[in-house]
Amino acid sequence: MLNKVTDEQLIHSFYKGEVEAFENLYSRYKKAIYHYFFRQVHSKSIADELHQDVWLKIIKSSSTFKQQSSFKTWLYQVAHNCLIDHYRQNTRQPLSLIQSYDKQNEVNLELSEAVEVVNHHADEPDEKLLENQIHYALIQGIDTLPEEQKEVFLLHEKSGLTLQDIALITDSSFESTKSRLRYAVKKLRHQLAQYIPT
Amino acid sequence: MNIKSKSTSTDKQDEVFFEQYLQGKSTLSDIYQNTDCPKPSNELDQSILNAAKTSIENSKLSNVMRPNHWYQPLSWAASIAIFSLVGLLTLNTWESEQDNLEQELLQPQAISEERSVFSPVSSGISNFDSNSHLKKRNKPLSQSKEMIPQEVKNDSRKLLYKNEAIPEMQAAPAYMGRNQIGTLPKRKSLNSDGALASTPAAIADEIIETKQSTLIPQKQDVTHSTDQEIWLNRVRLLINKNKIDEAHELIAQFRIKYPDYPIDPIILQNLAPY
Repeated sequence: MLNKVTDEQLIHSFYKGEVEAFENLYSRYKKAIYHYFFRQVHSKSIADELHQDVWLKIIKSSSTFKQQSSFKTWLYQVAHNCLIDHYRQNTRQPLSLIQSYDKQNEVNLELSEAVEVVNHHADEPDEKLLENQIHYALIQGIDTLPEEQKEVFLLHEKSGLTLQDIALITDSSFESTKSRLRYAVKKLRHQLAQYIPT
Repeated sequence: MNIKSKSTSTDKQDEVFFEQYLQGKSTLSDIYQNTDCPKPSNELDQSILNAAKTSIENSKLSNVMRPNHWYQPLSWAASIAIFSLVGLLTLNTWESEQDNLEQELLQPQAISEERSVFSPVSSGISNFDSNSHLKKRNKPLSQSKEMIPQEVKNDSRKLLYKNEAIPEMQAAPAYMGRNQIGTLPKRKSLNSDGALASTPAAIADEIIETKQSTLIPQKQDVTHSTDQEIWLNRVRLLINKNKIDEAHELIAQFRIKYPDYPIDPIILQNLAPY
């Protein structure tokens, strides 16, 4: 029954005092938001922090949300702003070296997990192994993308946002958003050229 | 040349691939959707949900604790509305009272009838029926006609002098004798037609007619008039009755008793030699 209720109705219900509405809304978007952050910052601790920041802002800013845009767009706008704030703080702080070390650790951890998965499925058929290899190659390809292209690709792919919504969230024009996505897709296609049939 | 054509074909392939990707037909999307993605920890979920609960509880508490100030502007608005309404009503009442006073000023004979108690001489003017049109309005036409005496029914608005109508408004040829005037077709009385008498225009005409037929309008404020005003009203009555000599005497006595009291210039004008 709750699945039929729109995001906007849920957020209004929450602001009227229904905690269940927020729980429902959170369960709808928690994975996408967390994924968006994790793929951008490559750090679980930072992703946790940003994820929490976003949802706390949503909880507190009852007066900010207006019916002009959809809740989804608004949510990702808040997430985008949190990410920008994080990047700004990162450039100012001298601890960026530590964080980059942390980031490297996270990447290494992810790689070791991937190797572990490959080893775990070593006795499985070749198809499964190939699949894992493709996934790994894709993630690597995404990581090598410029920040702007990466963000557009992630928003389009995992969050299911339209190009117009993405343009609104990233505060850029529709054409430049489309262009960024085109370049991202082209690079990833070349990255996975050996796996994807042309 | 060969390299250039190869790059052009690659661009075309990229473009086709991108179009397919936008339409959701690309394998790239399928691969990405199947990748494992990290999830927020349970502790993180719980802390966020707890924050939401706390926020709701706080907002409920603050709603209970915070006094409602909405009624203040509302009460201000209501007060302003009530005051302006009362002001308008007062103004309206005052205006209508002013209109009534003006109408009464234009009907001095009506007041003179009320004032007949003060009159030193009983006269034919006491028969003057100035309020008959007002009485008529509240009664059916047939009934009201029966109630009015015959002499008043003819033309109650006319001044009576020794129980005869003063023929000042009836223009008559010079060759006609006084007895012949009665044979002339009579001016249509406003009061004789019930419907006409009840219309505001008819009433206004009536007032003007009454005014014209009176020599000096008498002061209408009976209740607040002083002795001097009562005295002067007697003089007015005498002038209206054409008893100029008596009026002269009375005004002379008045002047002796109240030498500084201002006398109405209309009275003085009518007692010209004085």
